[in-house]
Amino acid sequence: MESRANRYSQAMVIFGIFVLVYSVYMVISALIGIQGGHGEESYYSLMIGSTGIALASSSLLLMRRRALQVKPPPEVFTVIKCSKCGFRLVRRFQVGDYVNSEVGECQQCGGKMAITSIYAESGEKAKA
Amino acid sequence: MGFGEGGRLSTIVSVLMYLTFFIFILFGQKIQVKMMLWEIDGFLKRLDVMRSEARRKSIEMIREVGKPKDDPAPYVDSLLEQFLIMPVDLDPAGIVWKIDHLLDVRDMKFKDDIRRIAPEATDAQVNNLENLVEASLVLNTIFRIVRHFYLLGKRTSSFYIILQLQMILPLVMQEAEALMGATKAFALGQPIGDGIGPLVVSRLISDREKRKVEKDMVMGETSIEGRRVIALKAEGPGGNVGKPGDAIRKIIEELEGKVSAIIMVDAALKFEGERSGEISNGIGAAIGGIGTERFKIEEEASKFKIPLHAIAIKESILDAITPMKREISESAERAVEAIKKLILERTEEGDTVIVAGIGNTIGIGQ
Repeated sequence: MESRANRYSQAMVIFGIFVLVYSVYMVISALIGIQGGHGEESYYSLMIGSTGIALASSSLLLMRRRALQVKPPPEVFTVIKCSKCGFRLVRRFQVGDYVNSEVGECQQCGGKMAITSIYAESGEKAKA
Repeated sequence: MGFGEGGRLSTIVSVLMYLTFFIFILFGQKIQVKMMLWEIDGFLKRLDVMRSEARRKSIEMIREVGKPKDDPAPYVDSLLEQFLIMPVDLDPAGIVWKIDHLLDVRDMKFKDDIRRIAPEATDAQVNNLENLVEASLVLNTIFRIVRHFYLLGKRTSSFYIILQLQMILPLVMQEAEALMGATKAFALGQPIGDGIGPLVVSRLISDREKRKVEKDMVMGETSIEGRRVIALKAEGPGGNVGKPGDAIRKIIEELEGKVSAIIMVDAALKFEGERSGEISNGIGAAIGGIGTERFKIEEEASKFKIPLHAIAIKESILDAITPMKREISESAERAVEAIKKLILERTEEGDTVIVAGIGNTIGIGQ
């Protein structure tokens, strides 16, 4: 279903670009026509061309904004800490993790390791 | 082809403009209604996909965790259509206890139904599955209500029904998307933003002895600068909010009202423009929901003249029911400091203080 939506969006972008290019062509032709003395005919082309540019650009900008709004789901991390030496470990969340559960022994001092927090962070921040 | 004065193209354009003008004068509202219905139809299709996805996830989790012998789909479908009839409020005296009773019955039935269709699930998993099915139920209800008004508006061509629906749909969709995020958290047992209250309390009593108090609530004791602090939260790590009102009442009665302050920590809805994880202090019972638990706490506090303090951690509705963001999780330490400061400022050595962490404790142990 997602690929169908993607194909539809791609088709809409191609159509928008086509309308934009054709509208620019109409505006240029109209300006040349006005210089060449074809007054009224060129003014209609200029009006239609300008409307086409406005509509195509607004729809392309809207599609871009919508594409930017789609964010990947945040990743969830588990923070594990040693109660004795404070050694801290951050890893991806695993099913069964919960805050305050004990998860083995510390690699550094052999103390008890427990989950101190579980949080979600979006892609770029998570990598930092 | 003549384009000059009286030319064919200019005539066609003029006629088209007049025609468009008259079409809009005569059928403007109908065109607007059609466009609004078209937009609502798009939202409705998205809502349908969301509720189907939530239903699928619920059934999948029940199969995976509960290992039922029969197909759980028909049972889940019947749970998704459940409803609650609120008590009559013509004579509102005593209505809180009636609502409380009905909510207890509903909660008990829901849990029993989940336990029946997921016999192998542990207590914590039953709680998580209950939360998951409940989120699916809300999504299903939202879809049914939106579809009802959409079809009603379409059938009657009522501009005002369609207009109202179109106006509120962006907010409804925001809530529906938050619920979709919640289904993932409930299915995996991840802490959600609403769990910040229980997280703060668990920071206070994690290394202390705990005991059960009232339904689905646990309490532990600690000491801050010579003050006895009784901290309580819902029993985790399964998805659970417990009954803090009953627990606080029981503790106050056990102590014969000798409590110097009640401090409630809860997630609060932030305004647009505010940052998630900000902490603010206030007065009153910081607890959401239908109001029964708040009523009990206010009753007890006013009976024994106990000051009620609130510490709110700000977050959006999306943050509240999706996996807990880092900035909210990190605010737990600051909330603990705020509690300590409040206790030092408002109580004296030897006093007893109750600290209640309010919210869904999914993914947070004691």
